[in-house]
Amino acid sequence: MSEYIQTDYALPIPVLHVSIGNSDDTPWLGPLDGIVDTGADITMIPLNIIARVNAPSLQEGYLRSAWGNDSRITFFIVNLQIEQLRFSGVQVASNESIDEIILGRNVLNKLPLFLDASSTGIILKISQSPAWAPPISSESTALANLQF
Amino acid sequence: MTTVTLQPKIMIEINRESQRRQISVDELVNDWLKHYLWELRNKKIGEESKRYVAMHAELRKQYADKVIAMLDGQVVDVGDDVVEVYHRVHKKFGDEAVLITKVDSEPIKTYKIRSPRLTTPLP
Repeated sequence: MSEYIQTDYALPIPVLHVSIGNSDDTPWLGPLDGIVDTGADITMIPLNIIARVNAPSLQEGYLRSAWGNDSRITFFIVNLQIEQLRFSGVQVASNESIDEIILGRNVLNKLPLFLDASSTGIILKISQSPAWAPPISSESTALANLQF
Repeated sequence: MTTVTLQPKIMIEINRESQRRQISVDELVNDWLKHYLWELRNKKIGEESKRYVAMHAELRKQYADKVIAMLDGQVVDVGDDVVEVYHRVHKKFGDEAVLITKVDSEPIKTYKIRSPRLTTPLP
């Protein structure tokens, strides 16, 4: 049984393993679970994680929920490793209320993802490595995570 | 290396905290200062954002849809890509709090999160 079943998720949820870094000498943090959320415009990371990697802030903005409520956020620039793929200079949003890593479309739109939630669990695959984001390992296919 | 003289009262608290966390005083003080400076940088970005919003109409005339870097209300770099501008600015100003933003039609951009989550079990 996955940890998500034991927490507050009513249904299984697809996640990818994410590590977060900065361009300075601060150590990378992770791997951590990042929820795949195609309904999110932007990737969000809890503020305590952003602080630990000492990521620089760029600008402020707003996040609007499904019900139309706006929350003030700050944009930061980080390096992300999602499974075996590494991305540098990714803009992410954060504030005190964000308590989990949400992978939004500013990142997901760069991944060739395959999701099969029809049988025994959720199988989420990064099916191939985009040419502009070379894999860290030589494997071209990353089986991401299984959540039952 | 720089030597800093701390007040004895502060030193007692620092020693206590370093023992509690089981890390060295050097590590503890460096962590605290790093975090404090990070928060200070975020606060400065907040202040710079206010200046940017106040100047937006004027900036839009000159830099529509460009990415600008702003320090103390002055535009210090212009480009087409946030990451490129960030790298140039970081090279020039180091860890200084420099606001980097695209000069869109709206001064502050709103992103949407369309995915509500159930916090109770399904019926």
